[in-house]
Amino acid sequence: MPEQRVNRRQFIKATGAGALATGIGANIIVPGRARAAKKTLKILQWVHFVPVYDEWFNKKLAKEWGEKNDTEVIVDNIGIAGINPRATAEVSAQKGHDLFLFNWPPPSFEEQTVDMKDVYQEVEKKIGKPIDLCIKSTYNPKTKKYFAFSPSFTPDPVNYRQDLWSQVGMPNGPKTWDEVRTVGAKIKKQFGNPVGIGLANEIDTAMALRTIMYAHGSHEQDAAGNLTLNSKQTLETIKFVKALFQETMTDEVFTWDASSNNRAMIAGKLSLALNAISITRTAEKENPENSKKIQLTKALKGSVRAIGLEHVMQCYVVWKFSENIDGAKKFLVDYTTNFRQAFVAGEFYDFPCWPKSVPDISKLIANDPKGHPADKYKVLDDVLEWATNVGYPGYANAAIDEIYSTWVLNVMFAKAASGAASPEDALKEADAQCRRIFGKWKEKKMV
Amino acid sequence: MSHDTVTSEAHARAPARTRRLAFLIDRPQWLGAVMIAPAVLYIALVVGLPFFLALYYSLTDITAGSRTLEFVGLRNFAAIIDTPKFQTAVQNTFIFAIGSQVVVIVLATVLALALMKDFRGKWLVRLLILLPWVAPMSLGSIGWLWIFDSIYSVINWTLEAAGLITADDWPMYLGKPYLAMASVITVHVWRLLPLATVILLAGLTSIPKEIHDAAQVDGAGFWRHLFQVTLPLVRPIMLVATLFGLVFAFTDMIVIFVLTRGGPYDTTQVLSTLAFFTGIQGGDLAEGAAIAVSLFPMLMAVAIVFLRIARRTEVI
Amino acid sequence: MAHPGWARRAAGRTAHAGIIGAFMLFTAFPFYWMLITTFKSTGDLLRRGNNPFIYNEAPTLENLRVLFQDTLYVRWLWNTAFVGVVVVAITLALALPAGYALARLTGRWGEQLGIGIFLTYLVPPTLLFIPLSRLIAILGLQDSLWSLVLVYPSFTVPFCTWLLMGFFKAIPPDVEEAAMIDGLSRFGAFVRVVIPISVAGILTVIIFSFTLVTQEFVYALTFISSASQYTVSVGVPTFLVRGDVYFWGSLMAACFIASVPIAILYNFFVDRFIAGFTVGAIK
Repeated sequence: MPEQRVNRRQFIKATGAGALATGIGANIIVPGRARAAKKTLKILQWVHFVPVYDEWFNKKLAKEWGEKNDTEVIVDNIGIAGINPRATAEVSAQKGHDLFLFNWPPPSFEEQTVDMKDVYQEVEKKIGKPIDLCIKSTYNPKTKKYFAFSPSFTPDPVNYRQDLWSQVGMPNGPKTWDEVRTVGAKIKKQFGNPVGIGLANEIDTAMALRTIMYAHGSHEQDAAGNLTLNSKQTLETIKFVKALFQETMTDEVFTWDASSNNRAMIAGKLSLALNAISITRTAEKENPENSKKIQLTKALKGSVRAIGLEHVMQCYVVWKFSENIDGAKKFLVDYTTNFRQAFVAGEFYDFPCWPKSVPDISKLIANDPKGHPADKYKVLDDVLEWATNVGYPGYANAAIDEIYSTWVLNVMFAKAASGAASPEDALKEADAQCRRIFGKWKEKKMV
Repeated sequence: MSHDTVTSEAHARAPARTRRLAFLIDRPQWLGAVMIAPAVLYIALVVGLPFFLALYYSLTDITAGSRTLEFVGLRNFAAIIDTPKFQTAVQNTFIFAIGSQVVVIVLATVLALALMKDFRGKWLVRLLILLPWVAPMSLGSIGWLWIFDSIYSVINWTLEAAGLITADDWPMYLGKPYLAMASVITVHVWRLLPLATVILLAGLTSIPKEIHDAAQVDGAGFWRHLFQVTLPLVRPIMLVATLFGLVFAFTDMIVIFVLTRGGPYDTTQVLSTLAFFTGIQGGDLAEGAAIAVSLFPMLMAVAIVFLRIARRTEVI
Repeated sequence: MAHPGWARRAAGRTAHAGIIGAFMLFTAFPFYWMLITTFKSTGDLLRRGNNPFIYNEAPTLENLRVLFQDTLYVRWLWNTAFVGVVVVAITLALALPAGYALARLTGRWGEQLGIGIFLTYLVPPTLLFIPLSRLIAILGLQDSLWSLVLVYPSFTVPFCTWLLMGFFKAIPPDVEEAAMIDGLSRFGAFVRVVIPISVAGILTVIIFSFTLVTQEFVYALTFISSASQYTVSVGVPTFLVRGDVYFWGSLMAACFIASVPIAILYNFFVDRFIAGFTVGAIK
């Protein structure tokens, strides 16, 4: 909307054009940067889904923090596709940014990152303990090291079309995965709107399928980090996903990238999808009528539990070769203890890993000016209790990360669902791959 | 003629810089070395050194985050070679590369032959045919992503409007194994067709007219003329076009990265994308390097054979 | 010649037009599509069932506004052009003498070396960027367009050296010999006589190198992280694919605007390019 536009423009002016004017290839925020004694703090993070967040972060937060700490803060924003390549390049070069944000746990970089234990302690002193998900995504129990620090994560709730689900007697959406299957099939038959759980090589698929797995007691590993993929529960889950696909979905789920379920949901095609609140936020801007029909609900119950995943896990690392380690750590402490501002600036996209950093979170999300109804996002007020990490109930370790990045589980489910392989064979193949990947990283003594 | 007069004349004419190099005149080998040195040095430094480093990575246990590496010999290669994921990727790589090159060469030949003729509007036609070549491919691929979209595909909309398909059986271009492979090949052909056509046009233009005339005197029909006279004559240049295209298909991953990321279920996963997902996204740099390197010997063999043939069958 | 009847000629002409038309549809349709999408409002674009060929809602300049005002697109175009021009210059500076030396001065080992240089062209960038980032840090070039200027010739020089070698071989040696009898040194003859008659080959190198530069993605993605230093191929997707939302209209506009002028420019030179390539590639 108009307000949005102005913001976006201001944002670019602040980041790019400002730098252009100074003639230096960086987003310089603080004026009078020539003073010699001044420290610099270079931050690299993604181009946030919510443009206003970048504007706030780069222009306001970084500037104010810099003034207070006599530091020149430089923020660079890059695309998600560039994060890992860039990190690898910085490590290889032993030079780069002081504070580097991954949008997922980066366990394979552990050797190059500073232990964040003191940051955790410092923040804990001020605002109490973080949620379990936060530790599980940034701590390696094998080496007893915090390889990253996480101030926040993005929930992955269920988006459903209230108008459709109302007509089959479920105005509040489904509560269990079995309902998605049976009622979803009914909706598809009656109104032609399929369910949309991706089966492609992309992040939304990876998250949604793990949600279904964990809800049905199927896991890549146990709490101690032993591979447990090959289980009766996993086989059952594969069969369930296959049935779910055959009864409620169409072939389009094989074609998707991370943006497709957003589009399909906003276009009014799907009856249900899993995603961050990017679907509803985009709908509010682009298709306000439809946005009223799309509502959110909590994690669905499987045969074992109701559990949801993080969609994006904000994990900051400080490289050992960083030139301002103390500044980076201090920035993190300050950012996290004042996360409420970030929460609001990001339009609730990022939720706190530290519950007390946004004490009035329930009140905030119960009254959102853009949501329809105003308490649309209220269902998320206990998300800190039902969201979990990739690799649950264990830690997000390097093996889990490689399994995730090479789409092993996505392929397993997709092969079975499409009939390209039987559920048993798909599981066998995936298990062999996981076994190899776990073996590799165990040998490197990182898992 | 005396040596002195020649050099003094040269001094008089040549600028100062050339004069300083004048002592090399009589030693072509010296001059050759001096002239070639910058390029060789540059390549050694910016390609050679990093390449051997990467090669070395594939023989170690390096990860994205590690700096202490241990030599492990061929273990990374041994580890990947048996995995179905790697084998599928090798197979897909060849299908993708060879499939797209066969199509490119056939289409480029037809198109180049058609463009040999003069006709009205040729300038515009040529412009439109050149377009894909100059498009930044990351954006060109996004354009195709939109054309293949599962909901908004213009191809499907048109087919449906024409009554050829119904809304329920829209082809999912990126969602069915064969269709997805056909789609990424199509986009790759689209991107390489203009250059291949231009190269072939070059080959066709260079055939002396007398040869065509002679064939006509012999009474060769269109097809015989094409297959027995024209095509053999452009074969060397065609090999060059093919080689260039093959290299691109083997090493460049942007098309597949944007369109399918190897999906559906790894049926378009090629070595370059698998290396990226394993080494860069997954953090196992050593294995990623091994995957990327594993194709190099084959590519090198192909290239050497191609170059030799191309040079040997010098025609004109 | 035996039965040239008008019917047959007409049929031939129709077939010819059909073939040309089909190819044009294939190569140019995506650009036509980009052009249409450029002016579409998001609502129009994303309403299911809308006829995608027409403007169901009034055309809008919003996508262009986003592209030009909210991103640094113009700056990225300049960056790309700048890197392209400098890389072309470096490529010529390295490949011209090298190609000449390989063609004339190095004898038998020249061919082997030529093939060797060409082979380096086969090394995939997905592999090279990691060690290269080290080199760039040592030189202090990270986050600067100069890092691309340094690295891009690695994929233009090998092919162009090899191309120019073929090109110079095709020039009769008498040309330089005559110039040398007239008093020029070998190098002088190369600079003043050989280069001027090699315009076609040089043009080939220019077009070829410039195109590869505008296409490059992996190096630009890993060596550059500040918005003002991006090239088009990285900057545009970085800022117009936000999280999981594509700004379709602006993306398509960006691709269209970056492509068409270059295609027009190339079209003027295509005949010379063809001439250059023929000699260069097969001699």
